[in-house]
Amino acid sequence: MPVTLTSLDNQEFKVDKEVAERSILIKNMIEDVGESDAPIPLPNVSAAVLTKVIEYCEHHRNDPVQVQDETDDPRKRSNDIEEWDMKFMQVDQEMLFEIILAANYLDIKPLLDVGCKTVANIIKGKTPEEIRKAFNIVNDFTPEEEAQIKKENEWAEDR
Amino acid sequence: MARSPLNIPEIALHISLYLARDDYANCCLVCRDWNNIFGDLLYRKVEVFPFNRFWKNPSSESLISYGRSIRDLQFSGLIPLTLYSIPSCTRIEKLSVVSNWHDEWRLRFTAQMDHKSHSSSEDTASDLSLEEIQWKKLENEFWTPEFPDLVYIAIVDLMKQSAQCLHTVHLYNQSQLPVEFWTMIAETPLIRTLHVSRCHVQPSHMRAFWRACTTQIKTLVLHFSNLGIPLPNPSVRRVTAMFNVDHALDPLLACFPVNVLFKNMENLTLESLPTLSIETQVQMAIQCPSLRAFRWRPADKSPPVSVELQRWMAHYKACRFLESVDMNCTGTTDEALAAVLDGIAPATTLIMAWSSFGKDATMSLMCHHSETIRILHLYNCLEVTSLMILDILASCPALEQFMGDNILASDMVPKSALMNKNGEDEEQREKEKEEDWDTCEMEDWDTCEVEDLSRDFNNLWASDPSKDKDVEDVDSEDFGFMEGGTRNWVCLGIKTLKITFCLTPAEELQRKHDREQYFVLRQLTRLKKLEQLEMYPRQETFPVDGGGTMAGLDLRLRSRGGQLEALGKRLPDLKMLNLVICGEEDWSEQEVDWITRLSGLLWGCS
Repeated sequence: MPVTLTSLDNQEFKVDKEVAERSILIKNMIEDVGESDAPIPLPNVSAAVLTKVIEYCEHHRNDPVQVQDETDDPRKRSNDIEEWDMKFMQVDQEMLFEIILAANYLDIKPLLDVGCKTVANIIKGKTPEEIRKAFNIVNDFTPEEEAQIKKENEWAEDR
Repeated sequence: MARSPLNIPEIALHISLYLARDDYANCCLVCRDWNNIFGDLLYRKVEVFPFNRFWKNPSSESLISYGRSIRDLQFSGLIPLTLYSIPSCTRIEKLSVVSNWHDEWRLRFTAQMDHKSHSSSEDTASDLSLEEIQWKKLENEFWTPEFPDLVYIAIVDLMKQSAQCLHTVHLYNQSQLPVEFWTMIAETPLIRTLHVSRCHVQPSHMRAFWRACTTQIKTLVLHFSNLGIPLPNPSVRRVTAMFNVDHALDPLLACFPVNVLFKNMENLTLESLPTLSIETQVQMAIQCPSLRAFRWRPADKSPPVSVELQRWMAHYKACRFLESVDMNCTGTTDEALAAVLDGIAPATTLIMAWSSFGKDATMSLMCHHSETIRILHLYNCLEVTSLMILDILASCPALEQFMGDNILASDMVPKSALMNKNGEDEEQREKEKEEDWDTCEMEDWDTCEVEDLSRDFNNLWASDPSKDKDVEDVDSEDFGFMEGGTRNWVCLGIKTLKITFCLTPAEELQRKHDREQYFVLRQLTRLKKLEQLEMYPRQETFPVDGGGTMAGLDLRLRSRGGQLEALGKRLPDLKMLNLVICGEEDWSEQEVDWITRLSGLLWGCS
């Protein structure tokens, strides 16, 4: 049974219920409302982003539901992204951020994981200047502030 | 950065989980926004230790300015007071006071201090010189430093500051904890986990100590190990430890609040408590109606505990949530363990190594826990037989970790493979053989091996039946027990397996050896999730009950079927092959390469 989703810019998307329910938010909405043909409004997600998110959910429609593994080491690996996901995440940075925000809002844990891993991989091993370049950020520190922070956090280097 | 996900704290935290500490430091230097985000994350967990050569500690200035970020603070008492006397530190959730100074560490520390005083370095690692610290020997086995009082005042202050957040306290190797400490624990409302290891509770603090452990109706995890709990009269203690005297005679119970229920306690560990009688320990377990996990290691030379166990199980209805039992204790009986297994909820973890786990306990295990059990340890249990293990492996589908001793490979050979004794015609035998091949998932086997093995098997079946006569007799004798020996293992999700396969030595009966080898490997290669495999390999021979010796599994490439390759190809997740290798080695270079690449762990390999 298809479900209709409405994006921020009022575009309608028809998707299989099974695909839509990859989003815990939508799943709960459907459960709360019960059988209904009314479109589900998603006022936080633009059509362009929703298209991407649906593409992801279509591809992963048959994945087993993730089990939360609380006992695991909190430090996680980010080098285990699947090939398809890696390709899927090759988008411009604005889109990458939008996808992460959408995954967070729609509560799609695996997509959020992949997005965060992608951002972490961009940051990893880079100097502050390189990070600024990568994310187009302006350095707003005074030289004194910068020196002080460097000194404060000296202990955390090379560990 | 208008709509950056980093501005949402949960997402920033999520991203940070994939980063290393030096990445945090770099992120802090990117811009002010990022400094706010990552500075907070960087200081969430802070560990301060005295070894400067290996470890960089944050300066006390940084700690003061980031004190509010610290959630998890771990420190040793042998560091400058300024590093943990942090007034801004008000949101600690987890506090660990570690001074795990074994003698070795103490010497290392002494050497370092000597070195320091000679070089007169500016970098004074500690306010406390070694002379100020008295070492106290507890229970003839471990030392704890006795710090000046100000160290403990600082600890109590820290707890006071964070009283509204603190939920986990770990204490290691402390002998001088002041009574205020226990009072503070009792008054901290959120405490859920209390680990006390290698500590010494002062006699006059017993009341406060038990209050700290019990008044929190919210305590979920209590972990005692190597705890020096003093007793009023040592001679009485010896008596209670050796005989199971009644409660009234146990002086400890005088301090122990018998009527208090550890109402919400879910996880209890009692480990090496030489001064706490078995009776009291059992009493504690009885008083935890919500107990889910119980780990029990009574003191090394513990008296028999069966009677207490049975008494405990008489109360088992009070422990109906218990699903993880870890009891490596000697001195139990099979019946007592069976009573435990009958009494508790369907278990996921049962660690019963070194026990008298036997036939009764196996029955109880199969009846109540076969569907749920995930971790099972039964090594060094003399009463566990090969067929019991095979039955367990053939009936517990959820098993992820199994550790046991020996399986007789002959128990794994199906009867159909031995059907040539009545001299059925060749066709009949061929048919049986076909069926047998079908059931063993032939499509997985490489064609060359199939040919290889089927040739072997042709030879086996074509051979003179009378020669195999003795073999059959031995086999059919043992098939009685639950007749599960040759069933397929159902624990296909198993990740860790420690078991030794005992085969007939090739020198004695080559064909029988090959057949056993084949069926063992057949079962092993079905375990697609296997990550760790540990066993004694070929060289080791085992004396077996009733005389004779057995050999381990032959994994050499040159043995029939290319065994190592067979394992490697079929078990993609296998990361560790632990072969305990003794004696003369005749592995080829290629084989050693393969094994070291896989495991890096070859014991005793030349």
